[in-house]
Amino acid sequence: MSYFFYKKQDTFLHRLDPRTKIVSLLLLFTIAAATREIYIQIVFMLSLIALFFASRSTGSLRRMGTLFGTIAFMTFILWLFFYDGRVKMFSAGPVVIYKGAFYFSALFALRFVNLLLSGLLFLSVASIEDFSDSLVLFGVPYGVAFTFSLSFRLVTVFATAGSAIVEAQKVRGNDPDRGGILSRIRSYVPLLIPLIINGIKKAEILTLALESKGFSPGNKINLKGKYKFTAYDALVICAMFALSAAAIAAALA
Amino acid sequence: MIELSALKYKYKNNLSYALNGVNLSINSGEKILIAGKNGAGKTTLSKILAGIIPLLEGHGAMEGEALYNSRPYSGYIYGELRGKISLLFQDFEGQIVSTTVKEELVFYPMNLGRTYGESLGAAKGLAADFGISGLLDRNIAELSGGEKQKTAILSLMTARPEILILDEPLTDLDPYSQEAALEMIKNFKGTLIVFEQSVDCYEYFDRILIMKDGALISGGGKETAGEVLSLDESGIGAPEIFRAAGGYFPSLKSACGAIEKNYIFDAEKYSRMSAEKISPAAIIQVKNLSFAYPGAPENALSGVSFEIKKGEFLAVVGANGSGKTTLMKIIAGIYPDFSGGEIYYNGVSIRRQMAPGRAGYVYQNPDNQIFSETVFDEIAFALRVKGAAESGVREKVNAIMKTFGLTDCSGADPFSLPKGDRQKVACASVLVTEPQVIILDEPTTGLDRNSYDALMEIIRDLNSRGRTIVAITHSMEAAAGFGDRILALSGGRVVYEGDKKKFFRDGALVKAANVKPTGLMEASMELNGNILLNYGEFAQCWRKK
Ligand SMILES: Nc1ncnc2c1ncn2[C@@H]1O[C@H](COP(=O)(O)OP(=O)(O)OP(=O)(O)O)[C@@H](O)[C@H]1O
Ligand SMILES: [Mg+2]
Repeated sequence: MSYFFYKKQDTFLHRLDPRTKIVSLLLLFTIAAATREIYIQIVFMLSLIALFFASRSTGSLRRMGTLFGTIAFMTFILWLFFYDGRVKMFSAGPVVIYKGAFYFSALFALRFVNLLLSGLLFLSVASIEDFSDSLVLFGVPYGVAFTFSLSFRLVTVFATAGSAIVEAQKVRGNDPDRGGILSRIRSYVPLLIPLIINGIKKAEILTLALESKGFSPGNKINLKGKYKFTAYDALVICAMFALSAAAIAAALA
Repeated sequence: MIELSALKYKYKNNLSYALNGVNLSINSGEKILIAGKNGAGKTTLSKILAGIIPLLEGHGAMEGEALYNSRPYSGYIYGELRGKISLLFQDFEGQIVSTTVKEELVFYPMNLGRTYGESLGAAKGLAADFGISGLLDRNIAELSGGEKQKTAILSLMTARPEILILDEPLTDLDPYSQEAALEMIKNFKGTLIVFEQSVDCYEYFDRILIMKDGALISGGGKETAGEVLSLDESGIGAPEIFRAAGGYFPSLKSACGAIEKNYIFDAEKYSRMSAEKISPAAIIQVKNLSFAYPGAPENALSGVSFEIKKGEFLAVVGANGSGKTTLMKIIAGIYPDFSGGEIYYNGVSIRRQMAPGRAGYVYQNPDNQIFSETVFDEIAFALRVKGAAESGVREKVNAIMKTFGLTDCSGADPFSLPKGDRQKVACASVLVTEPQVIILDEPTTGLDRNSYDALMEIIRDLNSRGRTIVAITHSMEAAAGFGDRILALSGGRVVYEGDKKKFFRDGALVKAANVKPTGLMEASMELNGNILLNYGEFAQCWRKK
């Protein structure tokens, strides 16, 4: 019951060097963005899902599945109507669907989902510390790297505050998860204000907490010995580069 | 090393002084305990000693002098104190900044520029000393309250500061862990300043100071813990054993000697008092309950069976991480998906269908429970959810605010209150609807003697009006004060359910549950083999000669 996707585990994806994780994420994005073939996008999606299983992170998938599905569906519908082709296939009043719209809507929906899945996979196997440490290892100043990771921390702070409020209200007889989607939305709206106020307060405490533990943006930290870039990492990075090069080449051809 | 003279501090927008003339001089290497009741100014003083006020939080007005190494605190920049002075916030959960225990422990030293190897070495060493090596790879969000507090304490010690200041560091620790923590900070090579509500851990300190109304009013060596009258006056309360013996005694034997000299035991009273009461029917039956947190390798609860009797007052004890909170959250309907077993409420199984709200649950950490903008709204919430009329709501809320002494802060933001008051708000907001079963998760942490007595009075009153009360606690004095029955958990299993006297008398059982009898219990066993649970019982059975 943690409010973030990352969970400390011992799988080959979790064990990767944080630099490998972040470079792989960028390359996964590249593949998703470059690929124009639906069937490759489908294979890509299935491979991503397989990686969720391999890293024992299907929990994240379950939590976000419905949301991603909805997003994919909406993308599909939107592109169906907005796709601007040459040959009309169907028209009724102002609604026009052009030839090729189905293909492109499906492609865009898949591409979008694959981008989201890649991000989710990264969040499931890389901790906040992995993220800021990898930036530091790439030479980004600690203050800047940490500020980036701070936004993740704040998301956690807000999410934790949110679920705490929902739980606290449930105990006192107000169950916002009851009923259909509309009544749920209605009962979540009044939670927003306390959530924001609480979140801001907790964020303020977090700033003080960081300073009380020696943090300052100008600090330099010495990560030597924390991570080891292994042959295995090199292999993963090479494979990822090869795949994305292939994806780009295919897109240009 | 630290020199405070005639120090006054007033928070912005406040009329009264939080600190009102503090004089204190601290030498390098001293181990100091500062005890004071809620609102005495402990947290403010701790922040000033750490330089957080005025360097990071300077919104108030400071008068008088505060020097660190002969230089006023206000002349430093906070960065110069970094790594030299460390403060554990009273709100230790809010001070946690990392995702896993290991990251949290290396955070401070690494920010001081130490290498990862050195930082990790310090973390591992201290974790082993404290017996939490097994937690290093855990996610902090998934720890029990006490496990989080242990992490928070260690995350400061890994930086090896010169001065370590701890604002109520023991609140959520079980008795053995308290001892381990005290032992560890006693061996800490530096200056130590600990703030507490009581003087119970006097043994570990060279100097004990009593704080009242924003000033340090008295102090001395260990014998200060036996000054029953003056401690009572400061709203702190002496350890029960000293109350019984009439002053400070360095050992159990000598305290017993003093009792024997002055008092005579009334065996008849004792046997009448200790007769086992017939217990009423069960209101909640738990049968063979198992539960695992999603993704956790081990069960948090396994094969738990016990009963909560109608109208009883049940105390629940056990080590940190033994599953107390988990068990009670399941019973309260907060975690409805338990994997194995059954829970019956008045004979009816409540598997996956307990309407939450029937059993009231007061959180271990009040900050996880509070969400409204004013104290009034917070307390009124549960009534309003039930659709009560606003006039009735006002009446009930005002009444309970009065009993808790919260009337003055009715319109205040609950988060701005001191922790003890937040605890009271959290209790009031649940008790206001008078649920059939009231579960309190460590209700007494952060409360001083008087507030504690007042809360107990309210709870006893509800209990006498037929409400069933379950209270989790690490304070054996509190456990001894609650009702007749006790439930002890260890490693997610029940080790004992039943009469409290039988439990505390059985050394092996007490040990298996990882708890400890109080000094007074030990003394009464030592005296004549009978067990007296608290000072009330003592005063009944031992008459003055
Ligand atoms: N949200 C969670 N996710 C996963 N594991 C958890 C979670 N909360 C607690 N645990 C684990 O379950 C076990 C029981 O925890 P629980 O909070 O019930 O202990 P407790 O007896 O209340 O301890 P304490 O005295 O410290 O409050 C512990 O091992 C703890 O680490
Ligand atoms: Mg607990």
